[in-house]
Amino acid sequence: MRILVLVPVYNEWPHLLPVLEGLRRHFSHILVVDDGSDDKSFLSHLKDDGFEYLSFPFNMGHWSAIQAGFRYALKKGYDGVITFDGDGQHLPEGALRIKPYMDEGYDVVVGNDNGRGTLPKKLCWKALNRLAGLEIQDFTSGLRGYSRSAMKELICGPFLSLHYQDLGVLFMAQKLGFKMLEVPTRMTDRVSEKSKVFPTLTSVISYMCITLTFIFVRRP
Amino acid sequence: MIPYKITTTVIGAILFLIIFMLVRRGKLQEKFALTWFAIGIIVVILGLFPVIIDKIAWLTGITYPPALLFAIAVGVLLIQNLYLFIFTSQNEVRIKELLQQVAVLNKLVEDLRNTDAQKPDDTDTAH
Repeated sequence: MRILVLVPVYNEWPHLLPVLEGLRRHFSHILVVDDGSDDKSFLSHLKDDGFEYLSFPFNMGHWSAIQAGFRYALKKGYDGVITFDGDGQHLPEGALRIKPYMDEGYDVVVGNDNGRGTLPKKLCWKALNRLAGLEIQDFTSGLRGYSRSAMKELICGPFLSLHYQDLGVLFMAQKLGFKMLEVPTRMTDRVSEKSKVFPTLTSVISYMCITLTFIFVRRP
Repeated sequence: MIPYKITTTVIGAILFLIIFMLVRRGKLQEKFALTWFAIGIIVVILGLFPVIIDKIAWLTGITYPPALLFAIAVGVLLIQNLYLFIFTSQNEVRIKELLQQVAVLNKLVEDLRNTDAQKPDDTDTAH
């Protein structure tokens, strides 16, 4: 089974290289997707080090970068994709844990880590999870495996209006009847300390509201 | 004091002219200008004959005619606004899809170029 490891990045150059070097020891196919980083000079470094990459001219969102990776993987005939954050939060061992389940024929495999996050955040996520009726517990995890058939569905229609790779993706994938699984993995604290998706409290609240609206509209 | 009819007509005419100029200069597409032209024409007509509003108000049983005018104005603006939101949502999805495809195609073109650049070298070493 040919697997492509997808690393979506947005302004994370200094931490990115060790992450990619770590991945290269275990996976031979790695694709970096630059989501319109402000400083593009790291792309030439990537080229020199022999890493393949896609690049957006402007920022379009984490999930959009992943979808571009899906399109590339589909064109190149890969059987599956593992998404892997470029901020050093995920360990290559986590991606290795996901791979056997993809071989087994699961469409969406989520690597979770219940240890991370503060208590109020955890409670919020739990509430959202219950409201959406999601089988997967850790929907914020960016460490995921997608099968070829899942990718084909996940690049079109309603999936294009999503912004994050989170609850929305899993919710709609569950509705489409894909075989989904959650695998416990260990993660470290991200090197950059600050979350890309939630840099401030306002962004958390706005995320909560958007997700609640999403659930409210799609639940029935 | 000038009659209020002149004031209202002038306001309507100015609105109509602005829309006309915007379309002429290509700032506003013809298909969107259509509704705005309609609005401009209605404003001019109502400006010339404000009595129309009084008539309609009387017919619909509204005792205070300006209320009818404001209700219609708010309604029209709301619909226009909603249409704009739908339009931007649609456009964002389209931009996303195009951006993703361009990124992938760029990569594929680059790959092709690299293999092409390597080919002459291979034949050279073969000889």
